Amino acid sequence: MYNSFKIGSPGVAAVVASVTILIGVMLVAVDTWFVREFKRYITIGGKGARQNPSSLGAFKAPAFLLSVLVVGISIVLPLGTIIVSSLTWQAGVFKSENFTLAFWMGREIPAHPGQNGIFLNKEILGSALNSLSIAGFAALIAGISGLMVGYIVVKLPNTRVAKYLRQVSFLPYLVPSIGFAAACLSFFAVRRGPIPSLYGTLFLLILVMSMKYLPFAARSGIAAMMQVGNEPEEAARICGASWLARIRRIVVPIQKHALLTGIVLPFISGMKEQSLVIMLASPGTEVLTTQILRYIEYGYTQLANATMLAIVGIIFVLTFGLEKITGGNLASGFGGGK
Amino acid sequence: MATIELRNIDRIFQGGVKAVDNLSITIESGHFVSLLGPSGCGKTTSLRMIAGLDNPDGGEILLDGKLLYSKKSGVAVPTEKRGMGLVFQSYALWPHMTIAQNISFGLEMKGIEKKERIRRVAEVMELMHISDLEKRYPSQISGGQQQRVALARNLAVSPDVLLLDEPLSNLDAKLRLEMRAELKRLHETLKNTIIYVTHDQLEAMTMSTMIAVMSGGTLKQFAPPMEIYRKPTNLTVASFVGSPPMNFLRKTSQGGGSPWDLGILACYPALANKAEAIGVRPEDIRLAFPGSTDRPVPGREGGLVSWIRKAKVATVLPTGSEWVVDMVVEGFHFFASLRDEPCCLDDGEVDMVVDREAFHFFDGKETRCN
Repeated sequence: MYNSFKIGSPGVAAVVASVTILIGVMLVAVDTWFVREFKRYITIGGKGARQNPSSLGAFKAPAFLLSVLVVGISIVLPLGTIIVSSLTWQAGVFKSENFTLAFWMGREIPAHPGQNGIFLNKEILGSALNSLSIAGFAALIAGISGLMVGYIVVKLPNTRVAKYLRQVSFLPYLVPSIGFAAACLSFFAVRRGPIPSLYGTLFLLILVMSMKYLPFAARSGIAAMMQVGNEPEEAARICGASWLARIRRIVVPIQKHALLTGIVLPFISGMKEQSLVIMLASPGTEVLTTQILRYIEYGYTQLANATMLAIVGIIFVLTFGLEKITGGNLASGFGGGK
Repeated sequence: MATIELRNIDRIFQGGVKAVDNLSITIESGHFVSLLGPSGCGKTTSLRMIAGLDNPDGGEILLDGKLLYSKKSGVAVPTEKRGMGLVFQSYALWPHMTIAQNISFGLEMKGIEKKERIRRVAEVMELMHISDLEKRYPSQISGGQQQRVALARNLAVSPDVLLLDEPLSNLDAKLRLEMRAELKRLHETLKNTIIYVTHDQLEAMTMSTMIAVMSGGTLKQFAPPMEIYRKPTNLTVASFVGSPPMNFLRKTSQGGGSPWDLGILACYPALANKAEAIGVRPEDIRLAFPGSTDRPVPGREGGLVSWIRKAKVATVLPTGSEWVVDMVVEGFHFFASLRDEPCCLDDGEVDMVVDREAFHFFDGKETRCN
């Protein structure tokens, strides 16, 4: 689709996009049908859950090895390669003079005209700030609206509003990011009624990205709300709690983990997002991923890798920090429980 | 004072299912009323409408003569302003709060100051024997304890009306018996109005001052427990209440050559043309064994003191406290429940004896006619 755009045949791109959307709609129809067939099971009631660790016995060593292997292949190996690459002038040469910190904190790197190491690179620092604010705000918007969608769907089961929200919140998932970006670009490029032209603003990127990640947040919100069900809130109503008090004291604390998941996952994806921002980013709203693409185009592999590592670092630090502050845990947030 | 009045309440669910159909009932202040019926009879829906968690599609709900809900005049007092207590079947404790916090929440919402809150929480925990659980979380205590916390949470705010939705159904038999006694004692001390939803007739019979039997969204009978048991006003109540259930002879079912009433109606000339179903409780049937001396005397001035028929014993089911005897009288099956172990059943022939007053008669509209 990107190619069709590039060679100037938007018609072909539109057809490709339509077909993808059609397949997606069919999948959603199947999903809706299944959801209708199954009754709702409340797996976390007011009774809470207990953890039941059990000993692996003879499988302890193999299980440990397997997990080490998985972590090694999927994380340590690729990350290690990139780290080493960002620290060397020439890939694959392991001599002491080949190692350098120039790509991280050097000034005027040789053979890279006008480029500083990424910690001293104004473009990179600016892009990092953009990435952070775009992904951050988009994740906040997506996460909170996702939980709200879940709240409404559970609150008004079997109503049109619930069905409508369920499906509409899932729609952005069907549209290929690039097509979605193209649509938003043409829609917001000019002033429309009260909406000013948004092209070239961070706001446009935040808006589009929060829409794109709404499906994930909404799914996580619906699942989490369904697990808890309506009763904790009804019990609070019985106790005389106003809506605000219920949300503040009951719904949000119980859904803390789900809310965290609904914010952190879009944030991580947003930091890594490429196909969406490639169309929408303009000078001034460049983000880290578009910088990486530019570096790769210029052949600045080490700078690209260093930038990539910076993204990983930011994600790790922020996610870890958030978990520490809220006392939640992203991985167990998927299950929605303690 | 807390009298609850339901006037012509309708509740229609999506798809046109009538969950509650023109229900009218007045629950007097201070009563312990059970809504009794099989699952799907509309009892929980009725309770939720009284609490305001669900709204009727027609009719009015009043508390002490004041409208809580009326479709016509557009009144709908929200749940949080009705000031009732409700214990959910699943207890619905808040998993993120300690037991003390769970109980204190309602007081906090009422704006009661901290010192008083602590005092009241301690008091109600003492009352429910859960003082040692104060700092624990709901997931760390047993089902029976959770049940007490759920009750304590509601009692803390001392509501005039306490609604209970099958609160004992998740407990084991022993705990259920204990909690039944405790609930009854609690009601006798607090004297508030209690509406108790259950499908368990034993719970309804043992605790209530009044029972409302519901079926298919309608009210079938509203009376004190013993009246429900002794004088069921219709066939539905008669067949639902009682364990083992009442034996029935029906005009529609034909036995092997014998008249459907087994000659019972011959002794009740006034009912002969009206009755279309005859019921007798298993515990009202006595067995007289051939050769025993205490044989009842049949026939007296044209009527009967007792009704006697020859029966063949099919099988005996001992339950521990009683013996349920399955027997056949001229092609019709009867179950009798006996306190004492039946003897001399070797040849399987016995006399089935029923006192004259023990029969229940119902007409073509399934309404009691004796």
